[in-house]
Amino acid sequence: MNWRRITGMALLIASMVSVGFGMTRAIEPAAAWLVAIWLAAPLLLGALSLLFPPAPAGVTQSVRNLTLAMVTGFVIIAIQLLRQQFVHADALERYVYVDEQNGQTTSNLRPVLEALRVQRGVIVDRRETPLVTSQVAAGVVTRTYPVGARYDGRAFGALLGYFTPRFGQSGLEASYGDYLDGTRDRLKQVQDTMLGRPRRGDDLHLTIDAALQDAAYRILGDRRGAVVVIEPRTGAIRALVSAPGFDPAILAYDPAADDAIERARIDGYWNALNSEAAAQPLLNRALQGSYPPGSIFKTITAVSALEHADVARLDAIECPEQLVVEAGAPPVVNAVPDLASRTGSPADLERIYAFSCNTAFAELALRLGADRLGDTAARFGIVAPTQAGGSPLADLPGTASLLYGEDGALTRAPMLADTGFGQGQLLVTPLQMALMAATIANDGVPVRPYLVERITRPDGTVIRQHAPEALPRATSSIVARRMRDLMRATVAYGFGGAADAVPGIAVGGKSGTAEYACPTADVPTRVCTHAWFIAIAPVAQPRYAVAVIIEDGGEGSSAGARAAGQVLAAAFALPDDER
Amino acid sequence: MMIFRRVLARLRLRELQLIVTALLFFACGYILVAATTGSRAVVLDRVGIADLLWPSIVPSLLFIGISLMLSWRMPNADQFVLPLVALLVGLGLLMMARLAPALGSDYADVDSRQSLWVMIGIIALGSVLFVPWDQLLRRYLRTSLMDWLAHYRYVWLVTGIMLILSTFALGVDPNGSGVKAWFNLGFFHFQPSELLKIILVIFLASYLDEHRELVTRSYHLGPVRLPPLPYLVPLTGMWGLAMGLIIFQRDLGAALLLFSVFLAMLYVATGRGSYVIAGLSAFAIGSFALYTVVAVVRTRVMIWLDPWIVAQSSGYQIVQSIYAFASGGLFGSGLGRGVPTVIPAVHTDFIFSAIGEELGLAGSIGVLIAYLLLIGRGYHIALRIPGRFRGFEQLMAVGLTTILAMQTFIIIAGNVRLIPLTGITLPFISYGGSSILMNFVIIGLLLRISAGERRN
Repeated sequence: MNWRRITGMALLIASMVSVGFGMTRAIEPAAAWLVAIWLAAPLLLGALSLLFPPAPAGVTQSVRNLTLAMVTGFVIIAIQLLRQQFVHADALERYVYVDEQNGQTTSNLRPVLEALRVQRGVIVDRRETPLVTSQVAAGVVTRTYPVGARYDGRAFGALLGYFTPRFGQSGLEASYGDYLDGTRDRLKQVQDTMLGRPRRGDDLHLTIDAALQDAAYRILGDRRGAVVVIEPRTGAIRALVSAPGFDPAILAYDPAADDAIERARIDGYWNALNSEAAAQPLLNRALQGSYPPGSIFKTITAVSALEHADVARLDAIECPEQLVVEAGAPPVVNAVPDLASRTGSPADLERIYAFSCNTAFAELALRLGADRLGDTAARFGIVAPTQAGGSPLADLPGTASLLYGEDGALTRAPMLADTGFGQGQLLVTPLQMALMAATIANDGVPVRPYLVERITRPDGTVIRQHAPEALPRATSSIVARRMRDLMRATVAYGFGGAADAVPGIAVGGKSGTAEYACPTADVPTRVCTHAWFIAIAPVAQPRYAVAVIIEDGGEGSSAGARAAGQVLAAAFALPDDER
Repeated sequence: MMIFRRVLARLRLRELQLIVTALLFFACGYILVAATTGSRAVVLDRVGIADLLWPSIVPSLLFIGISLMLSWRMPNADQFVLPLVALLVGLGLLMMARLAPALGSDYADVDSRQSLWVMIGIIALGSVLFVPWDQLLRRYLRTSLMDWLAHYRYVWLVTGIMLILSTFALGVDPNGSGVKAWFNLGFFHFQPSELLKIILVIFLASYLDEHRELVTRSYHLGPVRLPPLPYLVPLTGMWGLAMGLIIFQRDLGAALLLFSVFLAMLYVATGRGSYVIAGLSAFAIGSFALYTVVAVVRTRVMIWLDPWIVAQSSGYQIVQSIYAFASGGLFGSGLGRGVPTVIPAVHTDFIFSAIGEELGLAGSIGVLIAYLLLIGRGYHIALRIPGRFRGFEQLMAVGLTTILAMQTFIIIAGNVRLIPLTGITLPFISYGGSSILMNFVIIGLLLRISAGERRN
């Protein structure tokens, strides 16, 4: 009869609508879906019962209906399987549940187990010294750290990152994870699976010089801070140190050891790293640390003044004891009294730069105005918050360097004056400062910094080779050469003499003593200083550009300059094939 | 010579072809598993090959032997049941071979033990089919097998209930499932509830067949029409006693199974939908009562509705099962390439999740279809029996098939989180001696019933 078909179709459509609607509901918790599918079940049974030809009454009919009930049950299971294995399979596979009460997370074990089965790629330094390798133990691949045998493993933690089944991964292990575990090349992955070949990841060849990295970490010692060493012409980063560091080897899981002991050991170290007393060793200060630059920013002001010599009136520079910018605002003062006796009167740009005269640079900034100074700073990668695009380094996560924090801050004269000598609201990263020095060293052209020279397959085939990438010119070659003279003067006779630590090599640099508020319970207005130093060497044709920051490190001209000099000494002491 | 020619003429070719196909599929899978898990050092001498292949070859040969015997003794028996069973059993052995190396040392021999059980099961199947029960019983008890089963229904039921009762005193819990539902017989653990399900089907089939007319008819008490209480009460009482015991034992899966089988048989015998509605209402009330009274039921329902909040404790199994199915995707990770053993009890309660992970949606739906075909054949056998003369056998075929169907549904639906999980075995695939043995007895009875379908 026709009404059977019509009603049957209607019920069938109703059950499909119910299932379809349920599929669009939240994946987890699946309560809505369970309601939908169990609503669909009786509708489907009704539909089947009407659409299938009726059977003679009696046992035949009963058995027919029983069969249809069983079919309905199995169809419902099939629909559920369709949801779990096809429609929402990817989302369910990656579903992570975080317990709000105790923060415990539940996630799929398979990606981790998979990662443990892959022979993860090797990471080597520029001299092919293996830093991280993989070793097969008890059928499971474990990350090993040969770097620890020769050097302090903590120097490499923030750079390489950790690789743990429990806490995930960081550093290069994370950002190059797809190369290291061989998932980048899907075709090769499928081939290996089909042929039953053990999967091997690709190897990273870094620009880092492990010996220099280790030396720089030792120079910082137990002080908090960062060191960045860049090759100005190529952008190759030779050292990228953040202190305090952490040893990734301690976070690596050893499947050969007792599971409970391993877990306890890793958990213990992890908790120690995250404790208050540890001072954030997991943070890569070189890339993610934002600090006021202090006097090293005078480099930017000086560049801007050289570019706009007429506006800056370079022939009329004085270094007064204090500069009253605005009535009522605290005047700008110098760090050292009677600086004019050293800079002379009238002074010149070289001497106020070498002796780091705050008042003179505040005056220059006021003469230049916010637009010109901001324009120069932006070309050196120190930008307004609205233009901030992140760190110039693509290999690892980092933060942008900011000219100011609040909108319109530089329209206020006192703030502009403060910015001129590196205070104000400036926040910069050590990498950006190293890049600033490198730009001056490279005749005004910044070259994008990078960490990974090339990536090779296990068989040695190169699949990615870095080519130096010049960024838009920051300043003219003439200004850059003049700036190198200023930096040399600073080390030769100004407040940077401590950096002149490499015999036979002319070092140029600039110190910075960046003030920041560090209130304590007793002294709420207490001010501390970060010690900065940027350096280039040899000045005539620089091979290294260095930025050093020591948090709460005192004077840039003493602690900072000394550290930078030691880093340069270590760099030039390397057995260098290019020398 | 004459016999040989006659057998050849009556050879059940369709069945043989299908069995050989199923076994080929299974042999390929076995080799694949041996290769991917790499658990065995393959030594290609005579002993090495035999050692590798005996768990697959011996059951295969037994299936072919049964088929040939059927050609000789029962050429009319259904030709599709045995190949489907061979397929499912083969898949079960395959999964055991794949899981055994990964399960750890306590379960390292599940594959060979399962093989042994399958062989014992096939021998049980053979003895149900080929021992001349009718002749033996006629000679000594003047009755046929089916009449004998029907006649002594109370004996069987009391035996079954006594067995369940004695698990309270003597039962053990060999795999830490929290249910003391096994007897330790030394060489293996026997689960009496597996036997009880067959006994209950025999009891219900016999009772309902005898009182079919009366049970169907309404019972008039003045102007009120009532169900025929005098006949329903003893029936429900006996069945309720058995089920109550099992619930008391916390074997919720078996209880759900027995309830649905009861309802299905009552419906088929009477043809009255009102019994189903009444039964489902009783089920709803009973479930609610159990939910409020029994903590285990409450936990199971909570886990079903949100396994994630207890993902690290009681919900661990089902959460891992969700991940297993999702990771399997359309075509699965491939045999031996997944990690199903992260699910506790994967070789018993969660074998379907392992199939879902390693064979994907294609494999899991395929298994569903195989079960559906087997169930369809079971009901088909029931329908081809002239019910007027052989009502007991007809009801028994319905009941036995419903056992297979509901058991499959309950455990798979629990695995895929469609209903709260209750721990019962997946017929023919899950690891477990009692289950394999009893399922083969069910198949034996079904085939025997089908063989006689044209005789009267």
